Amino acid sequence: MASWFSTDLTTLLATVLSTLSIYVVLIALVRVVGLRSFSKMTSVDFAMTIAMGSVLASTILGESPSLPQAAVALTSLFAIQWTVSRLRKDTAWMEHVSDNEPLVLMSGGRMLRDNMTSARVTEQDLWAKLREANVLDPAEVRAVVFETTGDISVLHGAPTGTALHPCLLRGVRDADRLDLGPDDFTG
Amino acid sequence: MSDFDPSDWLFTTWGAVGDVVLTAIGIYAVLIVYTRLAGLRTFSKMSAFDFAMTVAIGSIVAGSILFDGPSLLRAVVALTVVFGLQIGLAALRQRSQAVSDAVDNEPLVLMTQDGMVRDNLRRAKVTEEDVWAKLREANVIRVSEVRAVVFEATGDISVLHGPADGEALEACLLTGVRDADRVSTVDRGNADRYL
Repeated sequence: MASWFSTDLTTLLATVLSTLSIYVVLIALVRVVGLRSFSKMTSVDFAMTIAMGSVLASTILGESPSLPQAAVALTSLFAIQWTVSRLRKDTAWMEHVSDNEPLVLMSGGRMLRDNMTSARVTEQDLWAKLREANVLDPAEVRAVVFETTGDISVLHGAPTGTALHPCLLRGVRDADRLDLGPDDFTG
Repeated sequence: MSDFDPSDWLFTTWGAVGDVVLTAIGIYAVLIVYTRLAGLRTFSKMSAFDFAMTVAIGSIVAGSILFDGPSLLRAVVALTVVFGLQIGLAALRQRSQAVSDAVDNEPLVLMTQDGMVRDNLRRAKVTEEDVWAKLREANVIRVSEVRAVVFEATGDISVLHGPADGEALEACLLTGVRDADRVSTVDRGNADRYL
């Protein structure tokens, strides 16, 4: 029991030092990789961010992993993320391989039951997402999209307001079910 | 920790470095494959435990990289179980209302246009200050703008609001919310028209 409440000075000092060192390593990696480090764009980005936080926590709290091992682990995670995001940008195939395609769940206030079933989303889930987006009337909804990251986008505005431009649904599965007209945006 | 040796903390071997790099690549590949198989629902936040499961998956990835020895297989088994549970349960709650009722916390009304619902605040252990903070986050300037505040199953808080003289809240938006009858809503029939 005693070891739960007591520790020795060396351990405390090592904890402080390893925290400082791994923090420096983290900042260096974030500066090298840039803005994309902790952004949430692909399906696994958020899980990878948590994995990095988890590596930091383990490094600080215990003798294993050692500092160099943790630095290598962090560098590997960043390197993998960097390589994959690079390939997603430069090749046509990587995005298809690594990401789930976004999917239309509601079209102009109408729930698309077949897509909800295939994505395992309940009606109550959708009502909750509309509430979170401050939708007061389903008639306001232009479209609801299940994004690659797992987030839900609710595109809405006054029923009489501007129509949704088709370019905003590029790459979204079943976007053609919204009948938005031709995509004339070339910017 | 009398056998504590600072060198454990500071040094490693080339073998261990190689293990780390290879395990990281391996677990990443497995994560992508599982995410593609499980689909969009994988890292979404809809039921109460979805977010915790996402954190668990991230932690398993980290653990697999850091534990000594060939732990990739163990981590893959752990990921398989977590993904299996997550997707299995998502499918069940989508198909059966009974499962959904059993595993999900029911959303709860915390505030109506008449003010705070104090007994619900107490029941959900939310303070009035918490609600004020959520109203600020939602950019509510006057209390009269609030139509309803709902404590969602995920732990998030929805603030339904708009100009005081603006449109009323359609009843269907509070489907499945406990004490929804305390909120004044309208039924323009839009639910039937659109759903």
